[in-house]
Amino acid sequence: MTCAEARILIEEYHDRELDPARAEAIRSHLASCAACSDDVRRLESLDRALRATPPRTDDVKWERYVASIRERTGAARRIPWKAIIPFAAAAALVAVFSRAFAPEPRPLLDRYATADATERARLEGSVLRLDREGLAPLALAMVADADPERRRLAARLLSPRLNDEAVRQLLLDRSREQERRESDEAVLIDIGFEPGDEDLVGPALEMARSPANFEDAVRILRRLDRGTLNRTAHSEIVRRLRELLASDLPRDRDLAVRLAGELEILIEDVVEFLDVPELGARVLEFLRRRSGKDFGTDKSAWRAWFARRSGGT
Amino acid sequence: MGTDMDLDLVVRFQQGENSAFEDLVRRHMRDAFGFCLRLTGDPAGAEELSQDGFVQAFRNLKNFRGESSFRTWLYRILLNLHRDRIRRRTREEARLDKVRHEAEGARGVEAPEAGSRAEELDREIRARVAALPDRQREVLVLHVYQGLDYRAIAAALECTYDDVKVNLSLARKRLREELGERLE
Repeated sequence: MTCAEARILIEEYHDRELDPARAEAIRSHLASCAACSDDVRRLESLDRALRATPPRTDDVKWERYVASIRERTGAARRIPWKAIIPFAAAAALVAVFSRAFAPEPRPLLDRYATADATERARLEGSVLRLDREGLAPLALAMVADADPERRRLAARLLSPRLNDEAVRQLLLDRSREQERRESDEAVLIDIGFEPGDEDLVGPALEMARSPANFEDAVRILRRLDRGTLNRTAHSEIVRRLRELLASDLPRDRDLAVRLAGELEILIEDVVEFLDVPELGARVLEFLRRRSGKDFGTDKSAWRAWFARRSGGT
Repeated sequence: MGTDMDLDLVVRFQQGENSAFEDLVRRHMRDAFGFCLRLTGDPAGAEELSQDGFVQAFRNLKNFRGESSFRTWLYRILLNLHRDRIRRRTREEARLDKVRHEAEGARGVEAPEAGSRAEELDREIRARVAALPDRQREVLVLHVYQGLDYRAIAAALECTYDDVKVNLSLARKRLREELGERLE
């Protein structure tokens, strides 16, 4: 074996990944090659140094750690989350119909707003442990706080809990409420106040990642996308879906195509994915459903057909 | 770690014995926490991440089919959670993190607090490992600290054996260059 051949295998040899025959061949080579033996020694000294830095686990209160998991896995089955909804809906309505509405101080959100990055990470962690009393004000702030920046911060704080039943129900509730309000546009225009539906786009997209919540998320996005009063939400959906379509992750692209199909938007963008193996079939299904036509994988034919239609997407 | 015992506990849980899950937690919590600490570099974050991993494992354990060990499966959950969190951050936050990280790394190298040479090296190694590109760090941590072989790592990361080999090699090469003769 030459040094060049040995060097290809030397790391696997060091990591005991080679079969016995190849390991023996390396051993023979090392016995007569000082340079390659040095390579092995360098690997050994690096691994030794790395392993000499044990994780610091002394500070963890292990019984509390287990108790927290026990509580959360138990709570997932027991807590009647829907109990918070009437409260949330009432407060959201107050927010909509009173321009002077100022939210009660919310200590967690307040601290988060002024925290540095380290403290923010800690507070984000603490949200995972919040019970329903702790969660409700944050969920409320996310949908109804008069300050857009605070809505955004609340949404970010809540992001790891977005698939929780409580938050899902709040978003659904808000979506239904908007549906009711659209029937009385004059009132809303008069009030001139539409608390940032675009802030709900991100949370709803996160929700859509969970198969169990996908349909609910689509319902919310559809309301947001077709909201007659607030086109910012539509632009935000388009922007976010384009980001997902451009993602390196197949599941992001898949999610975007599914949502574009459900919402019937972004046809020009999704046509590009017709010949992508894992997405093509889904894209084709969407295009056929939307057009009633079938041009197969012929991108230019699809584009031409949609261009001929007034407005396209 | 005894995979037969794990499998036994998984089967008992799947048959309705919920308390078997707590035994799984107790068997793996230190390992999972240590792994998360290597990924995040932050004890509070590691505690949250590993607990979330167990909660998600609890929710999905009914579907676990034993195609990999429970431990590898748990690592996969933890990695996915970790990546999801990173992705969720805005670009601006990521940039801030990077600056902070670099500042911390630089502090460890250029202006170490008073301490023994071993402590300084320890601090520097942690900073250097934390600063590796994500995939290299994941592979290195799973191999060197968690003791997984290449195939188990490939299963945990859902990548190929060659991806593991290449990334591990790149991580070691970079660390050797950065740490240099202090390793000798």
